[in-house]
Amino acid sequence: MRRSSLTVFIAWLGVLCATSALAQAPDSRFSAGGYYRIMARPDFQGGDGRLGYGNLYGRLMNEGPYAALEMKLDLLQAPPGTTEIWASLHARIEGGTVFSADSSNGSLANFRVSQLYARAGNILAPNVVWQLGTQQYFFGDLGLYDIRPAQLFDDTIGLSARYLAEKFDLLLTIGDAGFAARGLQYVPLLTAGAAIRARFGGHFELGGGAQVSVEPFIDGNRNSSYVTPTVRYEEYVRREVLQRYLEDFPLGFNQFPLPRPSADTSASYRAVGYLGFGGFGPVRWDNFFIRYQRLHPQNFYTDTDANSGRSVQIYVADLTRDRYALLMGNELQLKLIPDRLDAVWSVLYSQNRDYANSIKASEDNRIAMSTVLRLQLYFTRSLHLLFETSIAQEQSLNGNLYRSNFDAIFSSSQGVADARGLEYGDMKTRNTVQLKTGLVLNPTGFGIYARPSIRLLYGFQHSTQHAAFGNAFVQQLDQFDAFRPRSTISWHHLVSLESEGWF
Amino acid sequence: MAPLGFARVGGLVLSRAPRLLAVLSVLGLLGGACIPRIPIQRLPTTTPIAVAYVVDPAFAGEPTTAPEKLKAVIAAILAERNLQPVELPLEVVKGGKLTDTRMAAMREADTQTPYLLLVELRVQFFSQLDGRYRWEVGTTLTAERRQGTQVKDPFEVPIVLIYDHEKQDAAMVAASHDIGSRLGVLLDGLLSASATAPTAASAKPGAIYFVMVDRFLNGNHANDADADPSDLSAFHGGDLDGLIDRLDWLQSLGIDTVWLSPIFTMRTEQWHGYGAFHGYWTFDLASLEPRFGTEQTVVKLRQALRTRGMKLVLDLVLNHVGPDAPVIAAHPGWFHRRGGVTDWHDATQLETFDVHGLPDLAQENPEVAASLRAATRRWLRPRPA
Repeated sequence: MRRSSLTVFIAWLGVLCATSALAQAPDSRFSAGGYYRIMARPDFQGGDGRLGYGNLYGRLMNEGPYAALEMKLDLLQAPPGTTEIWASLHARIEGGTVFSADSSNGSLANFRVSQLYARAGNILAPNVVWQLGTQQYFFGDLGLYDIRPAQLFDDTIGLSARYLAEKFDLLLTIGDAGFAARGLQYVPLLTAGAAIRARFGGHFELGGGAQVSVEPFIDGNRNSSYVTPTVRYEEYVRREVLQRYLEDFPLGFNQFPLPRPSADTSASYRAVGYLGFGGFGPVRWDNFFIRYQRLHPQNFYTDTDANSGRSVQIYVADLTRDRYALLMGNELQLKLIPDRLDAVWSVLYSQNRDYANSIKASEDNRIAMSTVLRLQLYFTRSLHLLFETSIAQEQSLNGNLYRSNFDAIFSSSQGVADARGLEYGDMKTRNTVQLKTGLVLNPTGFGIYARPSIRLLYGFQHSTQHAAFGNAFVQQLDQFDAFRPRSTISWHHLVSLESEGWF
Repeated sequence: MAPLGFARVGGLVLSRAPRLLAVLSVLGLLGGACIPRIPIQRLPTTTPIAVAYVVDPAFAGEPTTAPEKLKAVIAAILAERNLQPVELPLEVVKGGKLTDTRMAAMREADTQTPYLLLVELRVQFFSQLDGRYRWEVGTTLTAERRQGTQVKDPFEVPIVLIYDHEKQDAAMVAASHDIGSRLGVLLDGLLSASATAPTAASAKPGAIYFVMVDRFLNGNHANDADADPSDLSAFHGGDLDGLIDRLDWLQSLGIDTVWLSPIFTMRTEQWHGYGAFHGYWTFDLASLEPRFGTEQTVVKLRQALRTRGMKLVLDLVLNHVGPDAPVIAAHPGWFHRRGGVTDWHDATQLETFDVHGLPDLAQENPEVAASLRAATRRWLRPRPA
C-alpha cells in the first residue's frame, strides 16, 4: 500500500515536471494578484475621512483603505493544446484596514479568507470547469459605485460546473449558504441555481441567473425556523417583547411562550439580469444590471429583562419573511476624444421593502437613486485631470429616517419626538450632491479605469441631512451631543492623497 | 450659515485650485522631460527581420496568431531600430512545441533575413478580483542574428480587464506596452552585441561556466593515455571533444562564456603526491596537451561556440611553470629563484617568490615578457588591421 502510494506520488511529480517543461511561454505554477487602495484624508470636520455615508454617491472618496491578495497554485498544469486534466487552488484574503490609515489601524481581525476554492478542467467533459469551495460569480461591475448588482452565489459554499463555449457560458451551482446567512445561528440553507451568459457578435451580451435557498426544518434544532407566539411587531422592533410580557405577567417569566415551528417553509431567492453592449462609436461598453431578491428570514435574537437580567430567545422567522430588495444600475463608458477625454456615466436605483414593517423608519423600507458622472482629461499619457460629480436621493418609505439639523432629536415627525427609535429624524428624504476633482498620475497610461493610479483630489459634499458623513457625533436620536455645533452642518470638504490599483 | 462654511473652506480651495493645478501640470511635464532615455540601437540601414507570432492555447485547441494591435506595437519597436518586419505565417511555427524547434523552422522557412524574432504567448485567466478580471500573459521573446547571437526574454505580464467579454486578445493588447518595452531592451542588447565592434561593455560576459577539462566529459577515448577514473589523483580522460558535445546543455543553462582550465603542454606526473590533471603545471603555453585535444579540436570548439553566440576564455598560466619544466634548464635566467613564499602578506614575496615551490617567472625580464606575450597572441583570433 505504502509502495503504491509512493509510486503514485512519484508519477504525479513526474507529470508536473513534464508538463511544465513543455510550455514555451512562461506559465508560473504559483501566482498572486490583488487589489489595494490607501489614502491620507485629514478630516477637520470631525468625520472619518470619507466624504459621505456610502457608495451610493460613487466609490471615490467614499471608501476607506482596502487590501486584497489572491493566490493561485496550479496543482496540475495541462500542456497547451491538450485536453489533459488541469487543477488549480485559489485563496483570497482581504480586509478594509491599514495601519495608520483608519481607526482599526490594520488589525488583522478585520481581514478574512473570503475565497477558497479548487478548480479543475477536462474531467468527465471537455470545456467544463468544476469549482469546489466558495462560489462567488458576477456578471460585471458598476465601477463608479464598486457595486455588483448581478452577483450570485457569493454566499454559497458548494460545487459548480461552468461550461465555456464560444457563444455562451452556462453555470450550474449547488451548495449551502447557511453560514453566510446565519453565522453563529447556522442552519443549512440548501442553495441551487444557474446562470447563463450569451454573446452576440462581440458587441452584445445577454445574461441572467437565479439562485434559491431553502431551509429545511429540523425538529429540535434551535436554529431552525421557529416562531415565538403572540409577539407583536412593534414590540419586536422596539426590542420590548419580554418587557411587555413581564408587565402583563410580572411573575410569569417561566411561562414565557415556548417557540413553535413556523407553519411556513423559510426560503429566499435572487434573480439577476444583465445586458451589455458596446464597441461602436464612442461607446466602449455599457452594462445594465438588475437584481430582485427575497431576503432569507431571520432566526432569533436575545431579549433580556433589565430587572432580573434573565433573557429569552425571541424567534422572528414569521416577522422577517416579507423582505424584498430591488437593485438596478447602468454604467456607460465613453471615449469622447480618443486619448484625450473619457467619460463614465452611471445610474443606480434601489428599493427595499419589508412588508411586515409599517411603523419603523429604516433602510429596509427605502428608495435610493443616484447618478454619477466621471470625466478624465489626459494632459499626457500618464498625467490626467479627474472630475466627478454625483447626485443622489434617498426616500424613507416608513416615516422620517434623516435629520435636517443638529437638534432634530427634539423635532421629530409632527413635532413629536420618539426617542425610543421608531423614527430617526425629521425628514423622509435625503438629497446629496458631491463633487470631486484633482490630478491623477497613471503610470500605465490612458483610461479611466487604468491602474495603478495616484490621485490628489479635493471633494465636497452637500447634503440636506445634518452632518451626513461618518462620525461619532450624531448617529442616534437619543445620543446626547455635548459638542453641538452652532449651526447645521450641510457641507463636508476633504482633500485626499490616495493610490489605488489592481495587480 | 451653511454657505458660509462653503465660502470659507470651499472658496479657498477653489480659488487656488487652478493655479495649483497648473503648477503641478508643468512640474509633471518638466519631470517627464528630464528623465533620461536609454539610447536606442538603430541600424544604419533598414534591415529585414523575420517575425513569427504564436499564441499557444491555454488548454485544448490550436495555436493562433497574435492580435493586430500587438503586432503594430512590435512593428513600431522594430521600426525605431530600423528593422523591417517580414511576418512568417503561423503555419511555419505552429507545428513545433519548443522555442528551439520553432526557431529552427523559422531559419528553414526564411533563409534571407539577417535577423529572426519569435514571439510566443500564452494567456490564462487568473480570477475575478474585486470587480475586475485578472489575466496573465506569459510571453517569451527570442531574437537572433542569423548564425550569431541569440537572446531570449521569458516573462509574465499581469493584466486586469474591466469586462468579462474582454478575453485573451484584449489581455494581449493590454500587455502590448509591456511586451514592446521588453522587446526594445532585448533588441538593443542583440544589436549592440552583433552590429558593432566589441566594446568593453558588450564583451562583458553574462554567465561563465568554468570547465575543469579533465573532469568534464570524455569525448575522445583515443587520447586517454593512462587515464584512470578510479584514481582521484590521476587523469580521468575529459577532453575538448567532450566539452563540444555538451555545449547545447551549457547554453540551455544560460551560460554564454566557457572558461577552460589550462590545456597546454604540462607536467603529467604526480608531484609530492598531488595529481597533475588540473593543468596548472604548464611546460609550454604555445602547444597543447594531447590528452585534451589538438589544434583542430580547438578550432572546432571555437566555431561551435561562435555559432551559439558564446565566448571562450583560455587560462594561461603566466606566474610560474610546472615543476621540472624544460624551460628551467634552457633559460635559467627567466626565474627569480628566491625560494618559496613564507609571508603571504608581503607583496614582494607574492610577486617574486615561488608559490608552493612552483618556479616563479621573472616577467620583468624582457625576454620572458616577450615569450609570454607571443604565447598569448598565439591563441587569439586574428583581427583585421
